[in-house]
Amino acid sequence: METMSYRREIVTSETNSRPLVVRRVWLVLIIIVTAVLQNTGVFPPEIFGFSALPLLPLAICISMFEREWAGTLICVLAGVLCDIPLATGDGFYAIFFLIICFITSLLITSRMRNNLMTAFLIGFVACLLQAVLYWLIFYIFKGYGQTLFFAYYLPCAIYTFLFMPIFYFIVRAIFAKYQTEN
Amino acid sequence: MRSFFTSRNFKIFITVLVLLLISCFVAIFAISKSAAATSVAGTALSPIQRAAVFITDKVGSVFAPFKSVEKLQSQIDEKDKQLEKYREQLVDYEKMKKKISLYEETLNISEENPEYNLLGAAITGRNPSDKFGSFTISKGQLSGVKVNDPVVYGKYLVGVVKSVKPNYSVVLGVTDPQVKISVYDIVSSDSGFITNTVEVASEGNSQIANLDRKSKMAVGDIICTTGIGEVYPRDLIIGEISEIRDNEDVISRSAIIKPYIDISKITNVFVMTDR
Repeated sequence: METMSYRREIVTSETNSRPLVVRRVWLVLIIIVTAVLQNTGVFPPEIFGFSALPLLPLAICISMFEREWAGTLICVLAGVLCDIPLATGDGFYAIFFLIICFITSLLITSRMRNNLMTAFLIGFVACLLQAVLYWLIFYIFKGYGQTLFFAYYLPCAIYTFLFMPIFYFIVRAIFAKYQTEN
Repeated sequence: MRSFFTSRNFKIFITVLVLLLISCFVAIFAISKSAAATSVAGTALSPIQRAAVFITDKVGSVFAPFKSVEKLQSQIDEKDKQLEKYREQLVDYEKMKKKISLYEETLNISEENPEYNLLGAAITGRNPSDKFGSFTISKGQLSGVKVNDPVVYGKYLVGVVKSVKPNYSVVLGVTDPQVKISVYDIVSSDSGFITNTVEVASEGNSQIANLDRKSKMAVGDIICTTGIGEVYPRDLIIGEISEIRDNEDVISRSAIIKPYIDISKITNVFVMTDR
């Protein structure tokens, strides 16, 4: 498989600020549109009763390309939007997205290459972690029983993970179009 | 390693994390059960969500006539356009009848419970992470909605408000394990509490747990709210008993209730707020 890696841009000149701003506006718009589609149940559709959380793979892909603090803050926005339909536990997704995206950003900066395989690896771990944490905090700790994880949350995590490559290519295309110079 | 912890990125990360944690703790103790960041984002996004739901419904209704035409034409060879037009009018008439029936039931509820206001709200979203069908509605604090306000569809109880934001609220369905309702059987007058387990809720049902073996509840009986506790008004219908199961302890039984209303199929509800 052809692997492509992208270097992180370091913005040093004011002439790079316009593509930077336009790029971040596009990312925020995509997050908002995805949040609206996700929270209204319009897209992605439920398959056999399982639903996906497409904001999670989108946030991870953004944090892989964007600079640490900027990417993290954009991803926190995605987390806050995920929190909207939560009945209890406001802030769960905001904190989860903050930590996951910050760690992703650090890994890509210092340890890992930015390519599709890395996206798959990080995305898989993040989707699984989200399912486990949600199930633990909102069900097990409340004493509701252990049956739901394999019957519902694990399939939902797999369904969510399927959106990784889609958002990876979309975010990569945006960064390619609005790349700032080193 | 030390330079990482003193770096600007890490400081920003810690600052944002602390702010979010404080917001979460405040939300736990707040009456509205909502965090500031979520309230702000949700308030801004709520109109867009309503527009998205409206557009989706309209697009769906554009294709419906084509599906009807396709289906009808496969069943009937020769129909003229006049008959097709009358059929469409009949569909509109039936929809209007259902709406009027719903409003009549709602008016009855309103007259029987004069201490409540009935506030109409659209269902604007559903929680993709929640197995039990919690949903968001288009009315919030600014419209007078409060936590624990009952949510009804006609004379049927469909849920309870769990958290309130300025212009939207999050509602738990009657099958949610977090919901507890005092109910009674209108046939036998036996009472109990709806306390749902994950297993029962996953089937889309509610359950009255720990029924005495001498209880006269039977399959087919209709279950309504008792009004005890003053959270839910009396005589709101929940569903009917579909099964009586023996519990593991053999001493008691559980009545499985099939709700009459499928939350996934309704688009508008009423919130009963205090006058």
